[in-house]
Amino acid sequence: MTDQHLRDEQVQAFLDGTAVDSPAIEAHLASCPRCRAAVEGYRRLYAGLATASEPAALSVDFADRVMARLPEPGGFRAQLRRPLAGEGIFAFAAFAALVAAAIFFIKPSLWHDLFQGLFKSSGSTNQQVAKTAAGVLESLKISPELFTAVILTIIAIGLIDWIVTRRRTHHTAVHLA
Amino acid sequence: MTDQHELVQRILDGDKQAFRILVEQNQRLVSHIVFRMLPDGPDREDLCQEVFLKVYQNLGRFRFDAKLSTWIATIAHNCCLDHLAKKRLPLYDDLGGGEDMPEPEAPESYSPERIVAEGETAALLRREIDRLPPVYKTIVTLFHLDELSYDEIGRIMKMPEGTIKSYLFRARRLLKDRLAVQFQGEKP
Repeated sequence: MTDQHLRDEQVQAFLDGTAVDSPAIEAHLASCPRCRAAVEGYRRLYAGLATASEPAALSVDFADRVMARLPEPGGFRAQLRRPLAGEGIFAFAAFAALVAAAIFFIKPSLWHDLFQGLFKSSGSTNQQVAKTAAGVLESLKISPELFTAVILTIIAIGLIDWIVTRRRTHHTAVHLA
Repeated sequence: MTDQHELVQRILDGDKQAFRILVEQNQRLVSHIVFRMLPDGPDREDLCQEVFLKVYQNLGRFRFDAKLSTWIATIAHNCCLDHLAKKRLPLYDDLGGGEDMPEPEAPESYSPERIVAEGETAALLRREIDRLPPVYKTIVTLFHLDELSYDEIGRIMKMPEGTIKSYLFRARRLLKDRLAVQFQGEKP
């Protein structure tokens, strides 16, 4: 060590505090003006880098701008509960409702059969529920077919929402891993 | 419970002011990464905002297996990589030397580094840093300005510690050599 000048990487490692042979380097520096100058030169470069490596600053109102873009009150959990907000949920809902309405007007019997089938399938409890439901709907002047269409539309939206949530959550987890 | 745990918990409970604190504590680090990784342009600050929106959306997944700032910096770096990939911008252009770069002679006392301390060449050094490839100038900034360790930088940039060290050494040597050329060129 004492006979050879320090290599560039030894000088840098010494100044970074990561050199494995620091005592030997120090001993060499004590007797070598050339390598002392090299270390001093890098020391000055380091000092320059500590200030000159600062890039341009963000806007003074940066934090305000970020806060203005936060999606929903209630923190991230609210975000997770509303994964489709602003990302096409209304388009999904409108599309599903349109399809349901089209079927309702084109072939009402389809909904009627489906509604009847849902409650007549088995058991006295279901029949009792069917009677009660039919009574409520009649008093509200809502046809069983329309009611069934609305329910199925809501289920469809919920299913799409659930699928998209799972896909997005998985994508985010992979991306951050 | 540490300050970090408490801050994260407050945010998860819906305290937006706590999130503002998180932004203010980490915006400088995020800007260092984004501004170093991306070329000059108006979309850099927008990307910084996107980073914090991602932090907000994914904070529930943070498991405290690293410092919160390191986790945020990792998201910032990922966002930059995505952005660069979309724009098809290079990460390693214009280094002016590779692994087989010849070992330069040991610096002499003339060193251009010396004039860095004299002030007038600070702008020169800044310009030379800007000329470095994105990965190199990011590493230089995180090490010298944010005072992160090789290990922390490696976690953020998903590179082995040895690679970070190697890139850092090469970047500094390149800066030294370029300053030497500039300095000698300006001498009468």
